[in-house]
Amino acid sequence: MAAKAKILVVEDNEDNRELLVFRLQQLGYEILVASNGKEAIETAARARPDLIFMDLRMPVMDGWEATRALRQTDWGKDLPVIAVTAHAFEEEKKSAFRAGCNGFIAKPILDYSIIQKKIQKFLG
Amino acid sequence: MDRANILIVDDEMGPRESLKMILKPYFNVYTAERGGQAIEMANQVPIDLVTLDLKMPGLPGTKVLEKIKQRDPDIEAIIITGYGSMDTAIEGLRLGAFDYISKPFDVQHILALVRRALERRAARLKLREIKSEFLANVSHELRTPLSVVIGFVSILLDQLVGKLTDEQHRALEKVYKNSEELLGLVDNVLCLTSLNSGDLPLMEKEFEVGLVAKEIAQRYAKQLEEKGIELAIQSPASGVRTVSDPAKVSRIFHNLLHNAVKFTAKGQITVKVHRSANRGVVDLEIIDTGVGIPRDHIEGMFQPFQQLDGSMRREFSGLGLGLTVARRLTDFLGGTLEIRSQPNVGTHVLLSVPYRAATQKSELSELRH
Repeated sequence: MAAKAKILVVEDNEDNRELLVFRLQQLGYEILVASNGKEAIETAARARPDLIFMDLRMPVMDGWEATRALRQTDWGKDLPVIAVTAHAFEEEKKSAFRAGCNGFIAKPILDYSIIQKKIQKFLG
Repeated sequence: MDRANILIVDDEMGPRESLKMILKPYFNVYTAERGGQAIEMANQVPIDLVTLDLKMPGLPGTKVLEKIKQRDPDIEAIIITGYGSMDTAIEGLRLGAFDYISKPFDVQHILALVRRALERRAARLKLREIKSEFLANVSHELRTPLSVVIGFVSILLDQLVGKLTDEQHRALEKVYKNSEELLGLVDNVLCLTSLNSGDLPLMEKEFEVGLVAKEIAQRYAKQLEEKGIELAIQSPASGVRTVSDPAKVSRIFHNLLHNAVKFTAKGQITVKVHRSANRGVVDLEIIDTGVGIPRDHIEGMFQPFQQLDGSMRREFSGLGLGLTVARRLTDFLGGTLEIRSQPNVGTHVLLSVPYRAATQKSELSELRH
């Protein structure tokens, strides 16, 4: 990877956010954080990340709505968004893709090489 | 609310057409002359209510009702009885029909009946939605803290924040293993609950079964090593591709392997993955050299909360949900699960999951070569 890619982590649970941020920093990425969908859109509009990890169930604005909103913008319509959720049900996966997410990871992440693979898939 | 879809099933044209005339102004009406045709139609159109003549040639009306209720227990049915044959009407009610009505029908009566049945269906669907939303929340709330525990322990275990002593490492391994165990239990309970409430969706796609088996086996590597059990996975190098629901196949296999590991103290576990083209299925076999199950207990093991020794100052902990969930999910996928076992010798589990027509074609051409 040439330049350090910028990744936005959107997650309302502080502990979970810290966890993912820690792992991503280990992998050498530059990290931005937001704790709900609304903050995510504001941060993304300002800082233009290369990829977003998006929790789905969040207060204020959830991940589905935030992803749909991103898809309406010029700069966000092709931005890779990977849904991250502690949800065991598969409808959630389906609905995440319908909202415009490009990938899906279920929490807890038992194998962290998955994160790297997902990022590489989108950022090369 | 959208117009409800009503299916009229009657072999006689007279009553079929007159019912259609009555209902057509208010509902979308479909008709079927035979039971088989009715079931096919219910598979294609989201039917809200059926009116059903139980006395038909071919597939008996009660069977049709059973099949339709199996598909969606909240589809309402109104039994149409001919010559005051109460027996079949009562049989229909027993099978969950909303009510019955005798020919010739009174227009106002049948309209009122249909409307009441549809109201009940709407209420039940609403309840189902609430239940499923509740389950989704429970799942989320239980898994979130667990995922934090597992996540931070794995950071410590990977020694990303500092070197661990052997003892620290051992202690954290135990935290990790038990958290994973808890996660498995939570997932099984939730899976069983959503199977019971009938709102588990089927998510089919193409995937490689051998890979699923390997991924899950990997999670047990540590435990197997500690117990000194060898695990061999025999899967063709070319892979065994199929079209099914990978998450469910993976859960079934996970539960079966979990049992094999748990109930095997020494020896080996062999996993075989292969196609059985003539039966149109992918087979997953799990063969262990564990404690085994006496023949007359095998069926009982599929009941929830059953373990062989329920009373025991139990040697083995657990809820006994694994096999129940495995069996129910296998049924859900249209597969079969067979267990052969001999106490103190071991257990041989055969899971067969059908692959869909899309891949069946290539399978047949493979056979011809």
